[in-house]
Amino acid sequence: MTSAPFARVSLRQGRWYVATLLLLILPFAVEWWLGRGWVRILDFALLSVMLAIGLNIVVGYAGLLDLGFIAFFGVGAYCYALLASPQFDLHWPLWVVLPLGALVAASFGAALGWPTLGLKGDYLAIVTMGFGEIIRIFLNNLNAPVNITNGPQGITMIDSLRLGDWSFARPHTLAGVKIGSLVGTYYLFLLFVILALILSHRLEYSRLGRAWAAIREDEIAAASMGLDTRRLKLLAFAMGASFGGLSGGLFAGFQGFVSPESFTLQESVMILCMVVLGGMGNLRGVVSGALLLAFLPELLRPVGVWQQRWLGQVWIDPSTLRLFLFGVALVLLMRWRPEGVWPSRARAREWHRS
Amino acid sequence: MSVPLLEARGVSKRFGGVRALQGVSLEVYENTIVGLIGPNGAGKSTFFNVLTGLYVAEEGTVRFAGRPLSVGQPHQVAAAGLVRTFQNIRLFPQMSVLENIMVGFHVRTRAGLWGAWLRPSAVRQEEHAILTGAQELLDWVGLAGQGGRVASTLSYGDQRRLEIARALATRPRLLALDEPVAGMNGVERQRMAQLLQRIREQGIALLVIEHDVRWIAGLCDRITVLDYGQCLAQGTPAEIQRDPRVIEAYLGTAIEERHG
Repeated sequence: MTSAPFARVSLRQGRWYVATLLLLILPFAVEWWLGRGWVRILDFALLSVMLAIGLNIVVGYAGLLDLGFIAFFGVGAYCYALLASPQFDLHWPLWVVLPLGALVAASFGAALGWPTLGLKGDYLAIVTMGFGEIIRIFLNNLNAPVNITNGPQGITMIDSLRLGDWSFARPHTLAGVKIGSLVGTYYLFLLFVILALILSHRLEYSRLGRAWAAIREDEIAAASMGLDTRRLKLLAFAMGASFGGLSGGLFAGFQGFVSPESFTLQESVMILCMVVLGGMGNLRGVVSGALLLAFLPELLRPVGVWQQRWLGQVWIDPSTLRLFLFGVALVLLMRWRPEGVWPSRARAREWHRS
Repeated sequence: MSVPLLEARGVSKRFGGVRALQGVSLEVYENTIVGLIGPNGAGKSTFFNVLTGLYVAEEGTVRFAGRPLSVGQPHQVAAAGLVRTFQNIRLFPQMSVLENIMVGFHVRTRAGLWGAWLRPSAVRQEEHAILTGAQELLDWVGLAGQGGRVASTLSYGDQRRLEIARALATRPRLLALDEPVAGMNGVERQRMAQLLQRIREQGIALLVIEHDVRWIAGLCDRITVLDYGQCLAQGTPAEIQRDPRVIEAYLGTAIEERHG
């Protein structure tokens, strides 16, 4: 009996093909169905996913509570902004600026890790929170005596994302298909997210990933088995930060504008929520958490319209109500699924020990 | 015999006003099993914590394989070949049994960041060697077929065995066990003693803390007795069991004396 060639494609492979196809047509479907605004939201959501993947290395793998993670996003963004904008009249190419931003963010990560090595849990959270604020305040004030960051005004006219002749800020036509700038950016970001996923996944299932898990479970036992916990923790901080920095660079190039306002404590908390809500330690969970929290506020945007329609008039300020509903959703989720939407095996066990 | 594998000289450790250890000295030679006994609070575990770098002693020196042990650096102590277990078992509770042992191989393997990302053949081979090594150890300590279980779901005795397997994975020259048979019944104690003998046959020296004098006397070549943070006696099991000071520390003064 001979089988048709495509019958040899296993179910597993088949699932990958379907997933790839779906991811490729997704932006077109979104643009056609929901409009360009949602493609932009999708692009930002991908940056959030990357941030969450980065923070997951620190919080999920190594078990280090970090409340200042957005600082590394900021460092990456400002790296790009300073090296590819009229600010210093530097216009370095993407493939130099992005890795450099990731590298600088990684060294900031290690610099944060160094003094906090002895700290755990809530103490670590407070110190990292302080660190995040320090970075933001520095960005805010480094306009005097020498103007580096342009202070609260931020840096404008940042070079758009461009690879060779292909600018992601302009629409292109490829094989008769018109690819809008937002759709093109989606593909670029998706590529980086997939890269981040692969790198993170390989770390998780490596000698280093095991070592991080061991530190998370019992640091004293880990050290007594010969794990250099200081080095491993620094590595986790640096690794997580580099993903944050990469995401930040893409953010700067995409927006064309950065200011310290984008890097507040609230953003750090938001990313932590993505990781915790999704299911820390599990990449699938972290990605779902990031997407969920990136889209939820957007889904709640028409609360004003809903009030108008159902109650006849707008009773509560839509932006306030939106935040309130968002908070309620978080509380409910944590109440009913404390381990997250899609937890790792270990976390699920911790919460459901009979 | 030549130079001892482990040589502690005059180790003292204070916690505030409490003098937990006062000038404790102890040697362990290659291929021997040394017992460390003493009543509760005698300083046995504190001594272990000093040896393995978790505590820093105020006085005294610890030399291992002819070199001073790095102070306050537990991972370097393990890398040097001195590895321990804990009185209140410290596994990685939510990791699988096999993963627990695989972590033990960390200190003798090398794959780093780029190895994890690029997975060159050397790294894949190393990872494979870790996996098969962990499985062998699993069988060797008597936990065959339990590799996929979550460590915390193992029975108490098996958790002790797993802790030992994890320590063995670091390829120690000296294995320090803190009460390896606490809470075990006679049969289990017997099996544990057999396991420890087999470990010694692998050329690994052992330093064992235990309360049960009879059990440890049957196992060890030499015994050191601690009481109130001081060395009370040292010698062969037979000498120790005859020593009146040891009998007094363990059983108290005779009843007639106290009431008489």
